[in-house]
Amino acid sequence: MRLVREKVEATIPTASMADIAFLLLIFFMVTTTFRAETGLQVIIPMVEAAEKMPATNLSHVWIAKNGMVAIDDALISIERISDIMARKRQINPDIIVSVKADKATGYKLVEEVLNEFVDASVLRIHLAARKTRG
Amino acid sequence: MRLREKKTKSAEIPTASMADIAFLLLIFFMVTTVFANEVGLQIMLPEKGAEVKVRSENIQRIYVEEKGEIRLNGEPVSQDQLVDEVKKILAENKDAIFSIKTHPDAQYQYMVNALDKLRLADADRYSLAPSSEE
Repeated sequence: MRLVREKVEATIPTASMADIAFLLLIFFMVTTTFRAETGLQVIIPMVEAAEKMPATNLSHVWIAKNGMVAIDDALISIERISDIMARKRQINPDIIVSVKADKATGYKLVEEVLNEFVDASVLRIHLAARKTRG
Repeated sequence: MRLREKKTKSAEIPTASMADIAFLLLIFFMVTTVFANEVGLQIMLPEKGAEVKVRSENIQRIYVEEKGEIRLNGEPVSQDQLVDEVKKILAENKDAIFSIKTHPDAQYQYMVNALDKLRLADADRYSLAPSSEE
């Protein structure tokens, strides 16, 4: 007995492939958010036991080694930190402050800034650092 | 005069490679995107005015000197020793609280180092003592 095989041509419709790819491209372009703040030039300290920083409810504070302090891109004097942080806490009670201080900053300055946070009752602090390799 | 009949030329844009182009762009942006994965140390500041009574035998004093040397209860220790010492103390007394006091002129990096070592030793009870207090 002989079987006769019928040849079936198999094609994948590729006409809409471009549409799908461009849709994905545009979707990711639209949903990408860029961080606007650039902050101050700091070299953050190195640590071994680094934890991941939470992505939400963050407010960034920069402390440069020459004594400049910036909150979300605006240079401010130290005495005004507590006012600004208190206002931020009213808007978002779960606020976490990420402190990006230069590793060569004097501890006295860092302590002054931390005391301002205590005055504003902003207590959850994240000290930004880089993880050492190895 | 009669004009010759116009020949209709069919104009086509080749779209077969469109999908390839779009996917190429998609993959290019996926590969070149760097996510800001920031890490650091999380600390919780004490509430203003809230005094926590601690039994004095539980307090372990860590002093960070101006040049970065660390002293644990008065004894100078190296950074690696600190991890072992802290582990030892915690094994004996799990209620031990570590109080980090930093010299006001010490670099921020030194304080972060001490904090980092406590984290490595799994110490979760610590406080930052004011540097001015004697």
